[in-house]
Amino acid sequence: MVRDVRDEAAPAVGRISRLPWRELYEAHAAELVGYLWKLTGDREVATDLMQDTFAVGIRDERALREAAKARPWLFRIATRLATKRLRRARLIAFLPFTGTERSTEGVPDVEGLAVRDAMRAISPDQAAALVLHYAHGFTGAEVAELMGRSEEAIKSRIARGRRAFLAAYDRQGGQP
Amino acid sequence: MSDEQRDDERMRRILGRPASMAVPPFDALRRAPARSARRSIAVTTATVLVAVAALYAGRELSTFRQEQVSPSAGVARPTAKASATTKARLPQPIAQPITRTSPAAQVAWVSTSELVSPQERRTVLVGVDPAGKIVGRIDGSVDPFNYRAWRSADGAMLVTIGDAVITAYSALDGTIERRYAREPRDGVVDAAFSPDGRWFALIGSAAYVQVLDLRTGVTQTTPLAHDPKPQTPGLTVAPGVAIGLIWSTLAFTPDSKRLFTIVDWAGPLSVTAFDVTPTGLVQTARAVDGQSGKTFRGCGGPGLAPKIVGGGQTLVLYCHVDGSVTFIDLPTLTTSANVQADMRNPFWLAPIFTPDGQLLYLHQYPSFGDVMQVVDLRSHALLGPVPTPTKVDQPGPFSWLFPVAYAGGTPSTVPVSPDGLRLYSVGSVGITVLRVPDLKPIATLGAGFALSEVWISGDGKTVYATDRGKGLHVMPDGGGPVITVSMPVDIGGFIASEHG
Repeated sequence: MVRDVRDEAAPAVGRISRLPWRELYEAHAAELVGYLWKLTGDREVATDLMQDTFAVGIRDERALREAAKARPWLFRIATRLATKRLRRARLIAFLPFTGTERSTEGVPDVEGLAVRDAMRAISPDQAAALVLHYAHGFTGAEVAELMGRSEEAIKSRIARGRRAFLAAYDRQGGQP
Repeated sequence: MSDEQRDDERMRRILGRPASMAVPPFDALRRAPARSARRSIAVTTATVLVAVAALYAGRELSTFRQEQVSPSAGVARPTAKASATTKARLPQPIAQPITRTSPAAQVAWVSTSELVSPQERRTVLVGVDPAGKIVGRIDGSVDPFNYRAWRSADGAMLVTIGDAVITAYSALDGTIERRYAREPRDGVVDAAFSPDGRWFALIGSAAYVQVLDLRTGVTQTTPLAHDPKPQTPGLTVAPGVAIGLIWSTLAFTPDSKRLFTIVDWAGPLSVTAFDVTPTGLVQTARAVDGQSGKTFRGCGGPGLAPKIVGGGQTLVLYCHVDGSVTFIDLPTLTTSANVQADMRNPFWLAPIFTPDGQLLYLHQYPSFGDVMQVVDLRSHALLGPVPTPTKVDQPGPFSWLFPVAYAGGTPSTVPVSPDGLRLYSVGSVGITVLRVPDLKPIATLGAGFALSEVWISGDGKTVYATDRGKGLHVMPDGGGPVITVSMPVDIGGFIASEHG
């Protein structure tokens, strides 16, 4: 379903939009920011990248033919932005002075730290493939299409990334 | 169940944890950058502008070179007679031995602070190692300190000063090594470590210099004479009220055997010389501007950066307020030269003394036009300003001269490699590594990062840089990936052994 929406995306585009961006934002923003947080280990960076994702999506909306396919398309943009950023600088996540990340409940999130540190031990491409596949339910074929790679390459990337991630995760004292 | 299936399940359990985070409202979305045609126009415009700027800069540099061959007014304004008639030459640097090799000297320490209430500011010092790991923190709310932190000459110790206690910390991990009781409990104007690490000297606002023997904990306090009723524009002193020191500084000689205090602003500049003996300070000489035929230029504001060079024979004072450089002959405590650098506003230049004591680079912060000047500390010649080069294929702007760094602010570091052969210039495109003395660009580090200040680890192998916010960027000196450590609040600056 594609319909013209006037003013819905006004803050970002200031023009007539083909897609219901406010609805898309409400449907996918939280999931995207969670994905980007796992990928980068940094809440602020994740929020920034999520906003960038929507800003780019709104700008390039003509590349999306069906609103129903917005989710993988937005994940593709988010993955591209995040891996580009991760390659440019190995991100170390927000580290409060205590040296332990705080979960939303205010308790030090040791498990979250182990995940973050294990993510840093693998390449940005491997990290993206793993999070898309295991956390967000994309199949190998969908991850391949989303990342612009062959399915075989993605399967191999997931297998190698999984081994490296789990080894690093165990070294960090993650849960068995 | 196969191993692969078990790993798959484990991965789903680990990565499938919900990550609930607050999402900003849709109306807060930013506009995406324009692309395609607009970008092409922008790139073309930028290319044309760069080309025009390059042509202009080339012409200026050419003019600068011609004028330097035949010195004339308007290019360099050394007041010293010799430099006006002698053809300028920059000395080759003397490579310094690398002595700060302990693990503690490789850890960068930065200060952060935030207002926790209108009356209270919380300051925390954070240590980050070359791997980008936070290895220590010194929290002002746990161990109160009121003034700046200082780092020892060997880079292995940090010292903070509180109202009643001086605390020494290991720079390796921020653990307390020793506490020293402090008396009197007044304000601290400035402090310095002796190069040999034995003494910590401070100037108190009640007009005294105090030395603390860090080995024994014994202190010795010596009064500093000053004008209690200064006549300084902007400063009103009520009748009958005597004020203490407002701004002063101090410097040890490289052999740690002598200490000089410089009392300036809100009164005539005075220099006092002390011998540092096993039992403390012994005053040996004192000279005051306007007395006994002595004339010292002074700074006209709070901000002198001192450095003793020439084998302990010359005190160089750089004034952050007006850009003047004063040379004082220490055996006679008389002014030997004054040089006036080009500075349009106070605190625009960062003084960078090279470790061999031969040169003083004055870097105008990129926000105000990225230019360099250099003072030859032996001949007193001032060269520049010239645009700071940023591309490795550019020649050094001072290459022909040898024969073979804020809205204002005092830089927290002296960004020179420990061997004194490389100078690090930060800007919006990263860090340009410049060869001393000609400033030929030899490498670029942290390309793409907008950076603020640089600190180089004691062994010279790791470069740390702050941005203008919460980021501390760590990178190998030889090039390689940049690790970014994000602090909860903005970073103030580095705690460095040398500062501007």
